Amino acid sequence: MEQAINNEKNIFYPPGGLLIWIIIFLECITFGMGLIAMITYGQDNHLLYHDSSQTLNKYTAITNTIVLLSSGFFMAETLRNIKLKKYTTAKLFLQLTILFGCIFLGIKSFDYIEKISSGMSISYNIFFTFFWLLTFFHFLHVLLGVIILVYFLWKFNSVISEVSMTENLEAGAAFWHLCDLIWLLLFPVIYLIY
Amino acid sequence: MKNSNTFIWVLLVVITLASVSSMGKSFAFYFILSMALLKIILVAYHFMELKRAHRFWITSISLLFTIIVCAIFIQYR
Repeated sequence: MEQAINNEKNIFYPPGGLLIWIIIFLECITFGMGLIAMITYGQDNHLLYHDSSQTLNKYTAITNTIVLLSSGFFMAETLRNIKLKKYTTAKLFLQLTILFGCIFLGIKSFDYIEKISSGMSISYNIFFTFFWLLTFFHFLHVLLGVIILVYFLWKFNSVISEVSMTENLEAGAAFWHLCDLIWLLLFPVIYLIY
Repeated sequence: MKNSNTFIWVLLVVITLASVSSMGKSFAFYFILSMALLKIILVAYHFMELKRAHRFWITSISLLFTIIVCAIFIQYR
């Protein structure tokens, strides 16, 4: 226990472990550079960006933002309840996290189908090239996050009995929150500012 | 262990709705991106539990996103 408390403030032991935080930083830099490239191309195509942005469904994007923030909250509550040894509540919150992740994927799939049926594919214009690259890459992250969380739900008894599995769940949770961080930057740039 | 997660979640939703409602206003661009940065720091600090990690982690993630948002500010103008 004392070792765990000491580790918390150790620079080499961030929540979830050092490796997942290296991944988090690399992912954030990748998406950040993608967004900066998108904005740079938009300097010469401001009207095109404005018109293209107007065709996006902002209501589904706002709903998805709230859904993803809620799933992040449920994930944080899962870990908090595991630490409090309230395992039934923790399992319920983990199920809610997965459910909200699936809702996000469902809404986004609906959005993608709508765009494809309207002919707005990746080659439609420069705005939609960035739209598809950035949002679909994020979609894949959420899908992978859901798969990871389903695995931890399946192995929930191991998660609460083995210290190493609890630490693995912390890493999974950090990856899940990474999806939040990326979306919180994608959402305003793609859907709101133009 | 005091539970601040619920308060942070409500705050994040309120900030999101405030950002959306500012669309079309003259200050919207700066407000929306500033609020996005605030939300990212809140998620990292509270939900990702960087509040109990070494200060290096919250400082560096905040710095990284501040640089990205500043670059967007500069490129957008």
